[in-house]
Parts: sequence; C-alpha cells; structure tokens
Amino acid sequence: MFPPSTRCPGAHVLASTLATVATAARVDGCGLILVANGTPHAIGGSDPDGRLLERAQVAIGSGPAFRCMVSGGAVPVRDLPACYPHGHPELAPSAGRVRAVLSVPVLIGRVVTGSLDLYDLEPHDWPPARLTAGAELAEVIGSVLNLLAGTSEPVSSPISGVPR
Amino acid sequence: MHLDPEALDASLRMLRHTPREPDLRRALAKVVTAVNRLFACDGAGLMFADAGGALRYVTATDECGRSLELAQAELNEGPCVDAYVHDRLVACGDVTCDTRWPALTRVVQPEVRAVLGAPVRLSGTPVGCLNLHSARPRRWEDSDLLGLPAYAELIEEIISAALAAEHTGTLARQLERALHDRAVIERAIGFLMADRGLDAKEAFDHLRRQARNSRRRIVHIAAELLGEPLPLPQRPSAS
Repeated sequence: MFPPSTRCPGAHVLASTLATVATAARVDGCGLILVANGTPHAIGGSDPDGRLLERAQVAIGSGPAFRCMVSGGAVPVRDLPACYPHGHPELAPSAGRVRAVLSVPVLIGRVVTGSLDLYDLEPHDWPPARLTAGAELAEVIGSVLNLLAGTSEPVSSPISGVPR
Repeated sequence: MHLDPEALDASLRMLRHTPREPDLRRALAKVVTAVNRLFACDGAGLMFADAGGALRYVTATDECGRSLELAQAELNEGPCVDAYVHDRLVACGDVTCDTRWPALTRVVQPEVRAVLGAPVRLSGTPVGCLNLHSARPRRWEDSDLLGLPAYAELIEEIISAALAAEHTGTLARQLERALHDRAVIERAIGFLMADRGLDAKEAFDHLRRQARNSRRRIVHIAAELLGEPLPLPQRPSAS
C-alpha cells in the first residue's frame, strides 16, 4: 500500500468524515455515539460543540441519541432547552451552544450500532427532507465504520492510508 | 481532531465480530444511491480512472446514467471527463445541444439532458467523477452546485477508510494505482501546457493519443516525456 511516510491514523479518516457529513447535511456540526458491549461511547464530533454534546449525553445517560438508539428511528429535537418532547431540558445545560438536534440511528447490517447526531446552533424544526438526508448520511457513516473495522490494527495507532 | 480514538477502538472491536463483510464497492454504491435520493435529479453515477488514466464506468443508479458514463468513457469527452481532467465542478443545462462535447450530443440517450459532474479526489488529486443527470433541461441550482462536491468528498472518505484499513480488493488497488499514475500524468500535462502552449484538455488528449498509437499506457508516455523511470507493472489481481 502507501509507503511508511504517508501513514495516518484511521481515526483521522472518521474525524474527516464527520466534518464532511456536516457539510453535506448543511448543519453546523455533528457528533457520533457508538455502543460497545452494551455501553455507549462518546466517539466525538466534527468540532468541539459536537464532542461536548456527545460527552454530555453519555455522562447523564439521556438525550435524543439515547431515544434514537432505543427506538431505532430518527429523533428530531427543535430546541434542547424546550420542554420534552420538543427539547431535552435536562441535557441543555451541559450541551453548550447546541440547540436543534437530529439523531439518526447508525446501523451495521440490521443492528443499531450507534447514533449520528446532526445539530445547529439555532433552534428550528427538521422537515422530512432533512430527516431523509440524515438517514442516508447515517448509512454512509455505517459504511465507513464497517470498512475501518476491517483493519487488524487499532485505529488509535498509526496505520497506512491516504495522506490527508 | 475532536475524536476519542480509544472509544472508537472499543466500538470497532465489537464491529469486527459482526458477520457483515466490508465491501468498498457496496459502500460507494450507497453514496451514489443517497445522492440520487437527496438531489432533485433522475439518476446519479460514479466513474473512476483506470490504469491508463481514462475514466471508466463504476456504478450508476439507472440505465440512462450507465449509458451516459459508457458513452463518455468511449468518446473521452463530456461533463464527467471535463470534471476529472480539469479538476472542477462541471454543469451542463442540456447535453444534447452543448457545443463543448459534439460527439457526445450525437449518441447520448434522449432521457439524459442536464448533467452535473464533481471531481472525486484522493489526497487532492482527481481520480474520478460523481455525477447527476436529469431527464429535462435545467439550470442547476446553488444547492446542487454546493451540495454535490460534499458528496464527492464522502466518496473520498470511504476510499480513505478502505485504504486505511488496508482492504486489498481490486477496486481499492485500482484507485491506489490511479492516484499514483495521475500524479505523473498531471506533471506531464503541466509540462505540455508550458512547453507547447496547450490547455489541460488538449495536453491530456495528446498523451492519450500517443498512448493509443503506441499501444502503451498514458502513464508510460507521461513518464517518458518527463524523463522519469517507467512505473512498475501492476500487481496481478487476486479478486
């Protein structure tokens, strides 16, 4: 494959993918939570806001990502500080600047493996077309994870790949 | 990077036990299908450069898109070829009367009118084209012009994931090779533009013609022109 001088961590590929997904979805950012051994892990986000949102949800064990992973369906939230079900007031104080959130399930095969959380810093509704786009992008994230899972090396250590 | 690599490792270890085999071609087709669903169009497709540096059909959502890609590959002209060669977004409101591609207008199916092509890059080097087509003439909107390149970048992310995970399928090897070859071809195009006053398309066509006449690969012609060592033969395919 590529010579040693062009090695890069596989995690960088996912970080870059999340940033590209945010651009494609035309949102301010996105984050990812994945489940391993029944435990949710805040993987991170396209920016610090995304990382904070995912860490907050995992820390308090609540939020649109959890509803999404339990139901297996998309969960649109108009404004986090608003009352449930339009918001998640218990999460809002820990979620920084994030206001509108759309959580869509990430599936590998037919198994819900996590939640892709698209968000904006202004409150708004999520029309059906954006729910469709979110679902398609969650499928792309699933494909990237499936490909990355094929490596025998941990993604946190340098492995060969395309220089970014 | 706003990611926790250790948490990602833990999750990916679990995914390794799922029965679903990683498949680059299926993952790429998923993006093309998503593009078809999300944009107001009648079809979408994907082309990649082959070992000779020419664009080839990879996948399309419909027969019209497939025929459009095959025609461009055969004629070496069209919006997708230009997007790849010039490394920029190419919009066409009605391909049946577009004077940029006279040969294509004669063979394109009547169900294909408007076409939009975005270059797919690896490490900043174009290796293919993601395209949309519409059955009616249309003026592409800003949302299309801004949106399609983002999905072309998603194609790059998927290829990067496959290469990072050292998948060794035929397509991954072909793309890796195309990336290397394209860098040599780009340098030769730059040389011809500076030395002979050609534009990028003319320079690429010159290399392609030379390759056809001598029954050699474009990258060999390019390397010879630059006085560089000839690329090694491609490894035999295992799949």
